[in-house]
Amino acid sequence: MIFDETRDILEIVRRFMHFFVEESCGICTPCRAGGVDMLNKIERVVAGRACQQDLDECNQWAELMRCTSRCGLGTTAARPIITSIDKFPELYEAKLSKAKHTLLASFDLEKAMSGHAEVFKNLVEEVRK
Amino acid sequence: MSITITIDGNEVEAEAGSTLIDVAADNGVYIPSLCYMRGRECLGTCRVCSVKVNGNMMASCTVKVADGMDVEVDEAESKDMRRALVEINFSEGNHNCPSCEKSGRCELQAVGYEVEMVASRFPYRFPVRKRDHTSKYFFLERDRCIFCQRCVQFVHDEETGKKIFSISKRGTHAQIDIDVELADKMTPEQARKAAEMCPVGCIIEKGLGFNDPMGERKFDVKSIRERALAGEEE
Repeated sequence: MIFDETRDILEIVRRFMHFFVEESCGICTPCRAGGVDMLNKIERVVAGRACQQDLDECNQWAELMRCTSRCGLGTTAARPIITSIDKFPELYEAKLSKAKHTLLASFDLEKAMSGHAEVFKNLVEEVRK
Repeated sequence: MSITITIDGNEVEAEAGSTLIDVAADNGVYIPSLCYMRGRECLGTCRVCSVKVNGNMMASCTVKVADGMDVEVDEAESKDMRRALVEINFSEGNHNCPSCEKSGRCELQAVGYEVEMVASRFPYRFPVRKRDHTSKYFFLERDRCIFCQRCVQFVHDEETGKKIFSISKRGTHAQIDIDVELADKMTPEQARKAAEMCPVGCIIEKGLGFNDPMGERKFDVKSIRERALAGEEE
C-alpha cells in the first residue's frame, strides 16, 4: 500500500487494527480477545487519552499475540501498532495525554457526562415550552 | 521409537510423536491448559499451555515431540504469557467465582490459582450476553464461555453423530449455541458428562445447584496440578 505524507498514520493504524478485530475468527484466545484490547488502546491514543503506560502495554500485549496466537492473522495483527510506535515515536508522544493532576488519563469525561448533557438539554427544552 | 528431549534442563525419555503436554505431565512437569483433554484430539484454542520449544513459544498440546527438542516450562517470559492468557479470559467474560455454581470444580478458577493470577492486567469488559435456558438439561451461561470448543468437538448426538453444541458468529461476536432438539434427546448421563466437560460454569446442569459442599469440591480435594500429573481425565 502506498500512502503520501498527507495521510494520518495513527488513523491508518487504527483502521488496520479494526480490520483485524473484524477478521478474527475467534478460535484462539490471544487473537480474539487481545485484538480488541489493542484496538481500544489505539483508539485511546487517537483520542489523546493515552499515557506512556498504554504504549508500554501495547508492546507487551502485541508480543503476547505474536507468540501465542494460532495462525498468521493473530501473530501479525498487532504489527501495525508496534512498528509505528517504533518508527514514528514522535507521533505517539504528541498524542499522549497532557492532563495535569489527573488520576486516570484514560477517563473519558465527555462520555461519562453524555447522559447528563442529554438530560440537561431535554430539561431546557421542557422549560422553554 | 524412544527419543530424548530436554524439559527445563532435564533429559526425558519419550515415545516419538507423542504430545508434549502429556510427556511433560508423565515426567512430573505440569503445564496448565483449559481446552486440552488427555486422550482426546487437541483443540489448540485456549493457548494457555504455551511453552518455549527450541526457543519459540508453542502451544504444547499441539506439539509432537521429536528427538533433541529443548523445552522450557519454568521460564519467566512464557510463565508470564500463560498467566496473561488466563487473565484475558477473565476480563473477556464475566467470571464472578463467589457467585458461580462451578466454583471449586471450575478449571479456569483452578488454573488461575496455578498460574498465580491475582487480577487481570487487561481491562474488564463486562459484556452483556444472553443466557439460554431452553433445553431440558442445561443452563447455558454465555457470560462464562471461554470458547474452548470442548463441547462443540466432543459432544455428539448418539444416534446421528451430529454436533449438539456449536459456536455461531465469529471473533468478538462469537456465541455458544445449543441444538435444543438434539440436546433434549440426550441421556441424563450424557448430559452430566457434557456439563462436567465444560472447563468453566457455562454449561450448567439444571436442578443441581451447588451440589458439592465447600471443602469437598473437586479442586478443594486435589489441585488441578495434582490431577494432571496423576493423568486423571477431567
